[in-house]
Amino acid sequence: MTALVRAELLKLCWTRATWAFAAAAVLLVALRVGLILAGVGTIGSAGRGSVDLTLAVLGASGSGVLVIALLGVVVVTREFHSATWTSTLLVTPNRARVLTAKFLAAGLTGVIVGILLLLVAAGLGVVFGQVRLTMSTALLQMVVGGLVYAAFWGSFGAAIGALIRNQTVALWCRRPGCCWSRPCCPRTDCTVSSRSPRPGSAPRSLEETCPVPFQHGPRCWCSSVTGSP
Amino acid sequence: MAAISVRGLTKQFGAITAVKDLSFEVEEGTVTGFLGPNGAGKTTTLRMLLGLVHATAGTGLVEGVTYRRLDRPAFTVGAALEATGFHPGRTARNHLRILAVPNRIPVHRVDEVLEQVDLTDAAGRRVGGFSLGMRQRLMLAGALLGDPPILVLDEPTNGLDPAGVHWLRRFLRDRADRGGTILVSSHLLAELAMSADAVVIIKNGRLVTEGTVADLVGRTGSWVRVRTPQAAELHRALTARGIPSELSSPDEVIAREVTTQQVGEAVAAAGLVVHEMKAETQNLEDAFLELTKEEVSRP
Repeated sequence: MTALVRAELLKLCWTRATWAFAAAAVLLVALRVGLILAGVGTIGSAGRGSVDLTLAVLGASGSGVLVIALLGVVVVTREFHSATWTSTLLVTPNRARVLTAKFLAAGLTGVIVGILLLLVAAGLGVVFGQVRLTMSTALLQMVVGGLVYAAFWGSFGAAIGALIRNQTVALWCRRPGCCWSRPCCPRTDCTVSSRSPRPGSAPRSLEETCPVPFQHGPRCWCSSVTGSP
Repeated sequence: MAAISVRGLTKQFGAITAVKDLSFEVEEGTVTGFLGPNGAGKTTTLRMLLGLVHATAGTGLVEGVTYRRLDRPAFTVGAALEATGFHPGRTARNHLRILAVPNRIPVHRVDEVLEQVDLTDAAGRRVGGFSLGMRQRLMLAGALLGDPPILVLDEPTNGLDPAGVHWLRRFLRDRADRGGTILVSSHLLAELAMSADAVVIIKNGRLVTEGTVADLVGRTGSWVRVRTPQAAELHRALTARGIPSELSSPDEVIAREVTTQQVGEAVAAAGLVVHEMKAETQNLEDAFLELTKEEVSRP
């Protein structure tokens, strides 16, 4: 299982979207911390150097939770988007193990990003001189609670990704030779599009090219034939 | 025990029966061609064998167990299937490393297989920019990671240039000679005829025939072609000996179901001049077309 989780983490590391998401989360948290710090001294806000301010600033890292959930979603949906499920399942034929690894990896990613965001929030607070980090039960609770929260949202995102994608896939099959909705043409040498082909492109309707009978549905066209007929 | 054994595999997609009660075996140490026209159910069969698609009925076994029961499948079966996606932003090396990690394959294997498929120079490039031929090679590299005794390849020659096809044929032959088992699907027979030991031919999801290449070619015919200025005389002489023959052109006779020895004796007995005599057998492609040509009409 550790090997599987490692593979999932590597996949995330080697996806540019991950880094874009992480950068977005950092910006979001920085903005929130900025707003809190700017409000210091106004009525009803926590005072400079107070425990309340420390908690508020660290708590601002929670605004990155949406991004953590999105990362969790990506852990699963990326496989559909770039059609890498086949190779993933060939390497690990047990679906339950693959999904478990994905949930764990998404949770772990949540914790890692959570730590990063806490550091960013605390760093900004300290650098701008208004936050003192003194160890207290409340602080510890906030940090631990925040990380559990981040782990939860990461896994939850992965779960959502699995659910939504399964539904989408049921409606929209991306397999080559397969239309966006049933019927499926089992022919694999032609790309099928639901749009009618451009004039003059010598189109052939699926009916003509499909070697086996298929059910009628939305109009399908064989947009190109690769290989020999 | 057969390396791969398919027993009664059936797959129903709605009203379509893609594969129907298909059974065949692939012997250890052979290159077996899995042939059939487009849409015959080759890919579906391979996907069922590899546990990617649920079979409606029947089982596919590799080394006696179903693929899904394999703990580290890369060490038993290497598979390269058509339409396997690549993350376009990942480099070739990273793609393989991701495949290697779950099976606990050491990283140095990644560079070894890249070398084997001649992609070392492109190892650090993003897969998104790869040509179809390079993707095929990368897919093959992925299948080789665990150095498995069995390879299952779906249309591996698609997108390869002639040199690539030649290389692949040599590569597979070499692997089989060293005891490996290879099941390779193709709709282009000429590519396989030279390297396969056995073939499994399916059509419309049903088994048409299975056997060795020699067997298959032998079953569908061989003949002796004779070029002679006295074609009509030879034709008469052969007919007199009860050998079925035909005048294919004014100076050529084709004698069927005989050996060159028999024809030679007939020629000598009749005292004829012969310019050329050649024993010909049908090649795999002809045999294949012959076997699959009937009932072209759709049900």
